[in-house]
Amino acid sequence: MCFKNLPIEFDSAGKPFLKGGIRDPYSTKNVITSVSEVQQMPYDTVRELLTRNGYIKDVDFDPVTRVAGALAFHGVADLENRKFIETRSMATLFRGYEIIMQGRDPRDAIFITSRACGVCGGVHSATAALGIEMAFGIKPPPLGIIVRNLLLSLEFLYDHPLHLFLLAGPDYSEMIVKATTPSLWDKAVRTKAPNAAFHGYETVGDIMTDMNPLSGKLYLEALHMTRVAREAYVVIGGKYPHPETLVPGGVSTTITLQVFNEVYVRLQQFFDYSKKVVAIWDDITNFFYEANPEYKKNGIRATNMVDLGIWDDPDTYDATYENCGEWGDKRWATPGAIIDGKLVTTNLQNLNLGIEEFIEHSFYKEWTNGENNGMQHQTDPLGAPLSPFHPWNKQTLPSPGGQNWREKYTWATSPRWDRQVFEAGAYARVYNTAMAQKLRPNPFIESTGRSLKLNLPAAAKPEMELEWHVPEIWNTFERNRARAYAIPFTALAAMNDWMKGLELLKKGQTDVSTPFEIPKTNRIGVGFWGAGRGYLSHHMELDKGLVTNYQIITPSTINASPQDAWDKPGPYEEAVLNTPILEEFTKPENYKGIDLLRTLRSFDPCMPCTTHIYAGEHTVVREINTCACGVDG
Amino acid sequence: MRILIAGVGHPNLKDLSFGQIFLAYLKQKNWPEYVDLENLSFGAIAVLQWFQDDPGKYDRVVFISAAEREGRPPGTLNVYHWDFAKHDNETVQECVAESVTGIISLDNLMMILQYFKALPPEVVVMDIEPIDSDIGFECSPEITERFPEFEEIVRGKHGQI
Repeated sequence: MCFKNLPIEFDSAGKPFLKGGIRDPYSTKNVITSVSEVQQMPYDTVRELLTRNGYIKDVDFDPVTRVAGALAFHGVADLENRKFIETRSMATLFRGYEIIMQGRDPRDAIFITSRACGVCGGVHSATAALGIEMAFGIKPPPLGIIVRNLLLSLEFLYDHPLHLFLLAGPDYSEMIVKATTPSLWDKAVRTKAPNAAFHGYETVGDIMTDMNPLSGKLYLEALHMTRVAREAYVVIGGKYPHPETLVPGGVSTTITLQVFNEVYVRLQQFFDYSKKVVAIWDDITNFFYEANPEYKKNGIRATNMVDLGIWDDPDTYDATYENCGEWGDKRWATPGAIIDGKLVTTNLQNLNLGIEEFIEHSFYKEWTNGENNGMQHQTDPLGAPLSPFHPWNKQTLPSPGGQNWREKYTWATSPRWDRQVFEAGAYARVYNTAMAQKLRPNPFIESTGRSLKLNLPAAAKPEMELEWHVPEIWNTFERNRARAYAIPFTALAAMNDWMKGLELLKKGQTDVSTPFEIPKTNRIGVGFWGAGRGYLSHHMELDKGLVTNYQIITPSTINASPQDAWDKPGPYEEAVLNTPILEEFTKPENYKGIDLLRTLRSFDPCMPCTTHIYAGEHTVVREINTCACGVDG
Repeated sequence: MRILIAGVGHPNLKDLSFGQIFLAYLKQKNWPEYVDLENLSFGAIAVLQWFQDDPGKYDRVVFISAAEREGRPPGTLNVYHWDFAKHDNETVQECVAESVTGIISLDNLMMILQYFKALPPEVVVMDIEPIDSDIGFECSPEITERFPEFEEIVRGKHGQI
C-alpha cells in the first residue's frame, strides 16, 4: 500500500482500484497526511514583523531574465535568530512547450522539446521518443536501446562535473568560504584531508583553493571532463546538446566496433575521475559537519524523492504501459518513491498514478471544471484510477497576472506525488537504486538496501570499490555528495551497457531502429525517464496522427514548485525555511546569503537567472546559473 | 596569414541570428584558401576548446554576431577591433557559468576566449543591432538587402581579403 493520501487501494493481486465511499475522491479539500511539518509564517504576521522589528529583513532574489529562463527567490530573514520565516520560489517565464506541441506530428516532439534545455536537450529527445514508442506500439531493437542508454549516460557525465565544480563548487571554494565564513577558512587550512591518498590534497584548504573559479585545478579539470563526455556523446549522437539521431523506435546512427572503441577510450577516463571526485566531496561534506554541526541543517528537509529510473534492459523493455512495472524494475537506475526515507514503491504504474500537478499558486487556470470534471481519462490503460490533476488529464491554460505572495506568484506548477512534496535529482537515482535491491546481475554495481557499492575497474589508477551509504539526514551537503557518487554510478551503468552492446555487435545484431507507421487512432503514451537533474516525464495523447495533448514534468518544475493546494511549500522553499544563517557578518549590509545560495544550488536548479539579494537598502547580486528546462509551460 | 571568419548567435531568431545567417551567405562566395569560415554558434567553452585544439592557427579572426545594446538604433552595424580590456574574474566566471548552461552570447565568448588566451593577435568584431528578433529563419529584409555591403566590409575595410 504505497498511497496514504490518494484514494487508491490494491486488491489481493496487487491491482489498484478507486477507494469506494468517497463523494469527491480527488478533491483538494480532502485532508492530507503530510510528512513535512514546515509551514510558512502567516503573511500578515510577517508584514507586521517587517514594520516593527529591525532584524526582520526582506531578502529578495530579484530575477534578471536571460535567454533561457529565470528563477527568482523571495525570502524574509530574521537576522537576529538567523533563520528564514518566509520563502517563495518563482519561475518567471512561461515557455509553453505544451502549447507548441498541440496539433503537431508527434515525431516533432523529439526535436522541439529538446530545446526546453540548453544543457540537457538530449534527455527530452529520449523521453519524447519513449512516449511516442508507447503510443505507436513499437519498440527499438536491443542495440538501439543500448545506444540510447549510452547517450544518456554520457549526457549525465557532462552534467554532473559541470554542476559539482563550475556551478555549485565555487560556493565551497577558498574565495567564497574566506569571504563569507573566515573562521571556517582558518579551520580548513589546518584540517588534514582524510582522503588525501585518493585526491592528492593534504588539507581541506588545499581542496578549497583548487575549487576557486577559473583558476582552481578542480574547476579546470571539470571543464576538461565535460569535453571528454561531450566528445563521447558526439561520436554516437552526432551533435550535442540537441541530437538529431534519436528517433521513435531507436536511433538513426550507424554503430560499429570502432564507434564503441571511441566511446570506451573516453568513458574509462571517468573511472579515475570518479575516484577523485567522490573523495573530494566526502572530505568537503565531512569537514563542514565537523567544523559546525549546524551545517547539517543547511537545506534539510524530509527525505521525500521520486525518480522514474533510467537505462533500460534491452531484453525486457518493450515500451508498453502494460509491462512498465517489469521493465522499469530492470533499469540500471531503479524507479521509486521515497517518502520519509522509506522506499514505498518502485512500480512505474504506481509512480504514474501518484503524480498530480496543482496550480493554486501558479499563473494557470484550473482545468478540472466543467463536463466530466474536466477528465479525459478516468483510468490509465490498465484500468487504474487517474486523478483529474494527472498529466494525462491536465490542460495548460496560461493566465498571466500580478505577483501576489498569498495567491499566484510563479509559472511553475506544483507536482506532488501522493500529495506529498517531493524532490528530484541525480541523487534520487542513487538513493532509489541503493534501497531497492533490484539490480540485474552485473560486475560493477551492487544494491545492498542501505548502500550502493560501485566497483570501478582499473584505468590509469587501480580498481577501487566505492560505497555510497544512505545518509541519516537529507540536506544540501548530502545532495552534492550523492551527486558526486552519481558520476561513478553513471559511468558503470554505461560500462554495463557498453559490454552488452559489444556482445550484440559480435552476434551481428546491429539493427538500431524499428520501422513504424504513425497510427491514426486515439493513443496515449508516456516517456518515463530522467534528466541529469532527475525525474523527467512526457505524457502525450495523439489522435488522427497528431498531438492533442502534451505535458512535460521536469525536475526543476518539481524542485522550484510553489506552495500547493494545501499550502505546503515547494522543495526550494521548504529547504530554505529550514536553513540556519551561519554566514559571518557584522551588519546586514555585509550579508551575502551564502547559506541560502548553497541550499538552492544543491538542487542543481535548472534555470539561468541572476539573483539579487535585497536586504534593506543593500543589494547583493549573485548568479544562479543552470539550464532552462525548469520553467513549466 | 590565416584568417577565420566566424558566425556566432542563437538560431532561428531573425536578426538575432545574423551571425549564422550572414555566415551562410558568405559561405556561398569564393574565398582564398587561407580563409576559413566557421559557425561557432555553440557554447563558449566548446568554442574555447575548439581554438585550444590548434593554438596559433589563426592570425586574425572576424566574429560576426548580433546583440541588443541599449541606445543603439536598430540596423546599426558596429565594426571594431576587440580591445582586450581586462575583465574581473567574477564577470568571467559568470560568463563561463552561463555558457555551460546553454547561453550563446558574443560578449561571453569574447571574454572567455580572452581570459584563457585563446584569441588570435588581431580580432575584429562585426556586431549588428537587430531590427526584428522574432522567430524566423531569415534576417529582416532591411538587413538582408545590406549583405553585399557587409561582405565588402568583411573583405576590404578590415580584412583585406
